[in-house]
Amino acid sequence: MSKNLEEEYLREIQSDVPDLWGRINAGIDKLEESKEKEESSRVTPINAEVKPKADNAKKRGKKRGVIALVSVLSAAAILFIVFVPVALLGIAVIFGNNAKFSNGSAEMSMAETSDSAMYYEEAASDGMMYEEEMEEAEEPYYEYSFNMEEDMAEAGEVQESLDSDNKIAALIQGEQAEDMPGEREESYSAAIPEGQAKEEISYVKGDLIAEDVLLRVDIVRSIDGMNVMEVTVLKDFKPEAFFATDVHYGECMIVKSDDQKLWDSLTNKILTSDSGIVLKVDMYVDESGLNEYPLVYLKSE
Amino acid sequence: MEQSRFADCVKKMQSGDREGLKIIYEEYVGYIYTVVYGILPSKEDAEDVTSEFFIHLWDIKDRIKTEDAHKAFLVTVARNMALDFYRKNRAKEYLDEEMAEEPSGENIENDVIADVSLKEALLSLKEEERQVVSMKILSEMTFEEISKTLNCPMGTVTWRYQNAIKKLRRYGYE
Repeated sequence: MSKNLEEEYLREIQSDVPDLWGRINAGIDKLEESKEKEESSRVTPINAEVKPKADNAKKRGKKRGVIALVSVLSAAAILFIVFVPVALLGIAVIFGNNAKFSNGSAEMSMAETSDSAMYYEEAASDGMMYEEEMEEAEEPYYEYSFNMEEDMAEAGEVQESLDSDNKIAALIQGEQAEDMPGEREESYSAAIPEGQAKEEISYVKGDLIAEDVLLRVDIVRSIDGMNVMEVTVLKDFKPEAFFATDVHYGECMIVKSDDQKLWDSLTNKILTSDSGIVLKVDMYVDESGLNEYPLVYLKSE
Repeated sequence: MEQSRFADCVKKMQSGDREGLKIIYEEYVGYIYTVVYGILPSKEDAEDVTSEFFIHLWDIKDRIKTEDAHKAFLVTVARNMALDFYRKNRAKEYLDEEMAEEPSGENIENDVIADVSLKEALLSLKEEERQVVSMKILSEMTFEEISKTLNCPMGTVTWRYQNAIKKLRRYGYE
């Protein structure tokens, strides 16, 4: 005997619905009343202030007069503040230029005054001093530049050592790259859909090792924007058994299989990928609640 | 109810005619009550929130958009009202009820399948299991939504649902 839970549950609840219309009507009446009260409370104070038309007209006239006066005064103040300094400045400039023009010849004669002569003498002696100082400074300058060269040479050595470090690093990287399974890398890269960051799903490549189960990720392909992987179970299960996994943007993958044994073996297990990343397997139930799958995700430390 | 009929009802409501609301009420009270009941464990609370829902619908009659799918709109409003009610009262009442609830149905898996009613079958569930089943089936919520509402991890929610389904299967419910 099989009964439909969803249908029966819905039917039972809906058959048990009480008549709520009376309550709703009463509630709406209350709501309308409170709204009316609110509105009337808003209107009352305005009505209380209503006065005879003539008074209002007089008051309005006075008010307008005051507003006009205030606006005229403020405009005048602004004009005064803005234009007076500008006008003064303009006058000063005009008169200043005139003064300059008028004593232009005087400026020439100013150079010949004793004060200015002294000034030029001082300036000339300063210039001499400057030249002497420059001569004296030449030696330390070259010393400094010599030091610079030494520094440069040292820097060159450092750079060389850095270069050599980089070379070593490059060599190490190269070795590491050589260590990596080239064929798998190629096929894996080819399988990643366009626009998908490589790092997002790179942790799931290779072998996933649990206590009793060894999974090998064989093929990665994209179906409707999701990375679906076909994985071979290498240990404890038939070697030819394949199942697909969904990879949700590198966060987790759902291992789908009809084999109940596989779920039981995987659930609550820790998997380690061959690249050393630790993955945790948990139970996942789909939206129907009836299909459960092992959910693999990155273990948070 | 068709969208055009719903639009007519809203127009009636906007002109102050309660007949428009009554038509919507008669059409959807069962559905709305079910959605609310799925979230609120108490029948009385479900009735209160359902009534409040229709009063609220009257209150917002001028703002209802009649071009959009009205059923989704009604469910969303009802669900939000029920969730608000649940959140406000959860700390006070529901938690106590859940704590007081005896862990029933532990031996259900060993019981013989009997011809029992759904009510009896549901009684075999723990309150938190029944709640997840109700939210899922009656309120049409996703596990993620349930997890957020109950403020507990999704794994716990799915685990409760799984347990509930396993128990109900013993009574022949699929």
